[in-house]
Amino acid sequence: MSQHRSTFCGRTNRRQHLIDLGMGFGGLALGSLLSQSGLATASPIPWGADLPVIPTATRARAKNVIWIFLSGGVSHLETFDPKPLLNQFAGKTFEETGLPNPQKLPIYAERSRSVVGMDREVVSTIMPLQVEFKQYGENGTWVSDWLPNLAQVVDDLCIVRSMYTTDNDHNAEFQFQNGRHSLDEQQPCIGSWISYGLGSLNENLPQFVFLGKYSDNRVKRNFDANYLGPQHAGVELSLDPANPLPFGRRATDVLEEEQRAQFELIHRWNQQSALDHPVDEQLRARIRAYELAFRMQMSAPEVLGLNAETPESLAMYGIDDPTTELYGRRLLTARRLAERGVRYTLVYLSDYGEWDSHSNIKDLHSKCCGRVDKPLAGLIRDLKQRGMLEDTLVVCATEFGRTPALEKTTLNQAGTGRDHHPHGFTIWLAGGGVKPGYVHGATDELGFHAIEHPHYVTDIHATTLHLLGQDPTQLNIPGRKRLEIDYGHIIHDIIA
Amino acid sequence: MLIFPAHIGRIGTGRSMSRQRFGSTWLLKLPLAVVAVCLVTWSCGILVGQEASVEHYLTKIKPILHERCFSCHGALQQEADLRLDTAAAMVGKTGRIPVVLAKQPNDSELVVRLRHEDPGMRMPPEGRALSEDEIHAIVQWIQDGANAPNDEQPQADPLSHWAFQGPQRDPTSQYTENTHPIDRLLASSKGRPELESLPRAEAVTLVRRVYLDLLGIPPTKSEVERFVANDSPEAYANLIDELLARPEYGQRWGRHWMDVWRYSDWYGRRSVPDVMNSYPQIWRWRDWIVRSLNEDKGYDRMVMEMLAADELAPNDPANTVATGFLVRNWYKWNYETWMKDNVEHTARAFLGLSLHCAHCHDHKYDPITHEDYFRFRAFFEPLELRHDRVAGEPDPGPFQKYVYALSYGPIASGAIRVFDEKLDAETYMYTSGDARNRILGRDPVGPGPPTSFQWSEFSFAPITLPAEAAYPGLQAFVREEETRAVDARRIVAEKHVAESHAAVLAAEDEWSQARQAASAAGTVGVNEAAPDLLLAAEIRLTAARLEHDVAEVALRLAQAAVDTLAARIAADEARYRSFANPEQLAKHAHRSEKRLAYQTAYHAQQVARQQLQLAQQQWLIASEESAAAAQQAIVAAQQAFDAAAAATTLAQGALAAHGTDYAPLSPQYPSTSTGRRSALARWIVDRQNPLTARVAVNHIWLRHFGQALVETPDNFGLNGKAPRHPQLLDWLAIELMDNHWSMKHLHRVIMTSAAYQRSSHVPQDHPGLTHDGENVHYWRRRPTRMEAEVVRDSVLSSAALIDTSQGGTDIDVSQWHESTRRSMYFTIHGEAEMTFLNTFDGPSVGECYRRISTVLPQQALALTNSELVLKFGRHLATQISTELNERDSVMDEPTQNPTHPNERFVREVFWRVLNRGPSPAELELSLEFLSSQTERFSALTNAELVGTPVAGIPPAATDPELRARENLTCSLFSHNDFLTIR
Repeated sequence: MSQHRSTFCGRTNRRQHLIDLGMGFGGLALGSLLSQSGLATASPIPWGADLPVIPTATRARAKNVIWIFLSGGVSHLETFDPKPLLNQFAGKTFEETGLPNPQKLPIYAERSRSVVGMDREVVSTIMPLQVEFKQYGENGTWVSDWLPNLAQVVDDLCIVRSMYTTDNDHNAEFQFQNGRHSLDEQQPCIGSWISYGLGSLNENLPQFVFLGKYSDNRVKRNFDANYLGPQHAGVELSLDPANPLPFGRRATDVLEEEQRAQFELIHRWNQQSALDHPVDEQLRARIRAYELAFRMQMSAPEVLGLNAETPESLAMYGIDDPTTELYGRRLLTARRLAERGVRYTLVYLSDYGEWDSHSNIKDLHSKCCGRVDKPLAGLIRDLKQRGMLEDTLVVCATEFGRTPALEKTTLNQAGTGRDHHPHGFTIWLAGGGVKPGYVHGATDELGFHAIEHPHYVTDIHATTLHLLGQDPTQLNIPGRKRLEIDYGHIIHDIIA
Repeated sequence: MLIFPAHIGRIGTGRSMSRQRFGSTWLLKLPLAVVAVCLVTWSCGILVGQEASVEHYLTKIKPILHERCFSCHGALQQEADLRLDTAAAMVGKTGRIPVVLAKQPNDSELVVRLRHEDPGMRMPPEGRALSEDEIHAIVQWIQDGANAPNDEQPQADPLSHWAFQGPQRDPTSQYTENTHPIDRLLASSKGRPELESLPRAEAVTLVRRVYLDLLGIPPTKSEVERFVANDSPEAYANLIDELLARPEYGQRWGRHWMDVWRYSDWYGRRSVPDVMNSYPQIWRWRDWIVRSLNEDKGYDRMVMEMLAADELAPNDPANTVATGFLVRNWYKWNYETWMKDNVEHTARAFLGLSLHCAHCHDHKYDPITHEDYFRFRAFFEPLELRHDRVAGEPDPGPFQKYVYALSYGPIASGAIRVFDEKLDAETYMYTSGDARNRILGRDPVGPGPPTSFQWSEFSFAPITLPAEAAYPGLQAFVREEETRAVDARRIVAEKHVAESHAAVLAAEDEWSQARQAASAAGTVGVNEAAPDLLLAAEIRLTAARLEHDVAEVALRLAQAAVDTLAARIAADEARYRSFANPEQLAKHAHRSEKRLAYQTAYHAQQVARQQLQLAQQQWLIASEESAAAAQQAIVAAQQAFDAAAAATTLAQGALAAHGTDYAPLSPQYPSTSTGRRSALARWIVDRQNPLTARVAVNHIWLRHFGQALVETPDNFGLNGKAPRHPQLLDWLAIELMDNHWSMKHLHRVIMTSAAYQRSSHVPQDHPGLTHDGENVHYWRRRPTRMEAEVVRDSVLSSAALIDTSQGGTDIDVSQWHESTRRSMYFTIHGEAEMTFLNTFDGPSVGECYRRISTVLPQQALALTNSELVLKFGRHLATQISTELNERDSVMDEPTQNPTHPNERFVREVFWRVLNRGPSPAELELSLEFLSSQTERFSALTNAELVGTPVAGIPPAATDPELRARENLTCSLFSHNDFLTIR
């Protein structure tokens, strides 16, 4: 192999090193096959020695990440960031409130950059809150009436009310994962960096899993490894235990023992080939890949089969209720993956744009909340009762918030919804070393700009990596310039 | 280096304006005494000559300065007249006032500025401040006396970089009887250890290598045998020539170049559908690539056509599609992105330059300024897309420009290409990579290559386009097809007149009979239904007459359409070609169109009249219950008729007005093009350009060997990798240019070298493994893995079922195992690729200057469980078994005993899948497997063997012996020697 391994197709190739080096191949399931192979005693392969060593910066607080995404833009104003002034000023324009007009502040232009070649039509007539809020938990955290179950676990959540992003359209979704505005050069997503930086805890399963269904192929950009290469891209697992991953199932007309014999034949052929070609490094790697492939095929259905779960467990996630069943299954599967050492699971807990409530926000958002509230609360409770919340970081995010003003524009005359709002929005985290029952940062009185501890999306990346024991600034590829903004800043205030 | 996202940039202000760099002000404040002290201490430091301190400087300090400071204070730029690339410069030995005072770190301006609290004063101005550790190391070094090697050299002038000097032909590198120039140059290459290269590969191995390399599909058994049996010294060269002449060559190498040139089918919002990136019909560019390679069009010509075929060959639709290279970058929502990608990928693909690094500021490594970036962008500034009609296909209509909130689905006809629309388009510089940050007060930038790279005279002039290029409606095929269409409609109308006339006669006949019957009934009283029948006949007769009336009007309309088209064509001919009586003919066309409009309106009126009369008739026979509805229908029909009549009156009135305008037969475009892109193309392929040919041959070499001469094929700049064998690279570049940039010539030259033909079979104790394990000196062949497309194509080939037909629209990936077309013809774009290909590191459409080759467990799963392998594996097993049954004779090597059918099967299947026979050990393993599997299956019931069949693939055999053979065949695709090219 070439000495210089920087970029191939703009990608780097760490997994290959791992496989070449034979790392993570402890406890081989097909021991009988290998013991005959002579490979178990093969000397280490010298050419893999230039593996980039990625230092662990700090003590890891978290081992796994469950990264939940709600697509379309969740209204911070109807979930975790109530602004009573909106009710007081309902129907008035920002100008008429007597407060500084948030649309005239310099950060307004700085934090919004349009992709579509023109700025969005500005909306400025204030819409009142569409739902009541109550205080919950030891710290009296405000939670919307649409989230009764999450309200019960609010003491385990760490809410960040001061997020902002810079794209005012839905590409902000991908920006949340890869840190770049879509007009700028795209980067690997956070899951890929984690896969690159940490490797796997379980070689029988992929280290970066995507769980979700989508009608729009752009969703794939959420788990795109870009220049880190396909081995660090999210592997889409379907929830069907019979057919969990691409090519991961024995054909239905092939018998188990039949295929086992085939694997053995393949192994023997290649073993024979290894004798003929003693210095073929690729061949050695391929023999190991076959071992792993077989184990992956065996273990994936077990992970995805929820029948081992108790009825209480299913009920906790709302799987017994048609409204919450779909998303409940996804989150329960995510827990099972984390349990088995999958580093990073991206749970797409909506269809593409599901939360995008340009009109009828009251109806749409209450329904959207109803579909995720119980499953999310169930996940937190379940992780906690299993002692997994300690080292599993849960992040629940969305691409942006929604405007304090009602949307009434040339194209949309309804006036019953809120538009996209990148200037201030809310996400929450839980477990994995973040402060429980904590609220960090704030938007202004109208819920417009993130003003107290404002955080760009990569700050969440930095914090996540930090909790995993990684120094974000160490994740680099030769020949690929990363910017300050890509590394983000660790939010020390939310770390327990 | 790249782009600063908006929120850290500043709207409307240049970054540099807000910062004070090392300027002259601080110099004035520096006491002269300090300068004097510094000079003294510096000389002392050198005299002391502490080795450890020098070592510290070279290993710790200099790399920091190189990374963070040299770009502004080194050879590339000397901001504030300061260089930090030698200690001598820092301590002021080169005449400038010092920034380092030996042994006085806290008084050294370097340290002061590195630690400055004011972000406007802190150095470096961009990116994070140096860490405390780094600053401490610098302080320590200064404290120790700022020692450096006595012979420390400043950074070289960036323009002296090897890749910016023209390639030199090594005088010794001629063909001689004994040595191929490539081998001679490799043998004499610097640093080559004393070691013996491996011999030529065995013929069986070599022929497979050559087939897969040139065609991307393996040889058949007879092709291998033919080559192996041929002892002629010319056999190998002849084989190469033969393969280069095969059409599959263009497909194989076309896919390589599609990687480099970023081929992508359209994407954006496919599910809507909404075309946002690239464009439908771009596959014509893909076919152009394949065709051009097969024709052996020069690389220089290909580059030129991809950038500017619309200016260079404006009347040649087979070649204007080459501009798909630029179409591919199109992004509906934001033309800034289109421009950005055009600049970046033109420079990376053809020049190996990272011009995009100068988007936000001057390049950090190469002599490319921020302004150079925009000069390069100006080449593309006038661009727009154009959707041309293609002979034999429906008119796609004009290209649909972006309108906010409107979606456009794909149009499945026509050809897409670029043209210069905005002839006076101006390019304005901006900062932070954000077009909103235009630098105010700065004049627009004109097109040109980077100012440091003017190897030859650069100029450009507008190009006058042929009439047909500016107005495609003048093309003969458009006129013919339009004429055929109106003629056909007239024939239909004529036929309808005749038919409706016959219908009237028949209806009259029927009516007469009905009347006779009715009058008879009236007198005799035989048939009580007769009056009703008469009424019905009357109604049908009226309807028939109305239909005939309308048909006659429709014929007049169809004739008017024929006349009008002829008039428009005549007027076009006069206006754009013959220039005789243009005014008069235009007037005539104008009048014809008016008449056609009138006929159209009149026809509509007649149809409305017909509807009205039919409605009235319906009312007459309506029952009591339906009378009201019938009444309403009459009112509606009356209204429609009134409206149609009014429109007719209007159209009639318009007949009087005169004019010379008429509808053109196609969209019309500017009659000149700016000439900017053809000038760029000429500058790129100019022989004086030191980059272009080198970059091209490096790409070709890389794909022949799986190793590059320059490991960064898209970056030949100062931050790229140095070439391994510079003389060889230069020789190849010159060889390409001297031979009309013929790529086929270059393939032939490379493949006939001994380096290419070497064996990959390395004995374990070969000294090469210790002295040159990386094979830098090509003493062996490095085995490579098939690229994704070759994997799939080879599976299809093994069963002799591959369809190598050329070209056409992209095939949906859902057809990935149903269609047997070559893999390169399947849809590939930013949002979807074939999972099977992706598993084997298929190209990333974003950029793929070089493929990677991973070894992943998913690949193993794809080769064991995929429908593709099961389908074609089973097919192949049956195919071979059937053939064996048909033939009695022993196939391969003569054996003493009659060969067991299983043995013959194993031998054959190895040939089909691995293109070689099995080794004795492999044969034994395979035979054991066949017998034990057969035994296993014999013990099972039929029902157990059937399982659940998989849709779309042949069911697994239930005959135990055949089932075992299927197993063996499918497994053979997982043999390492299938994926491996040795």
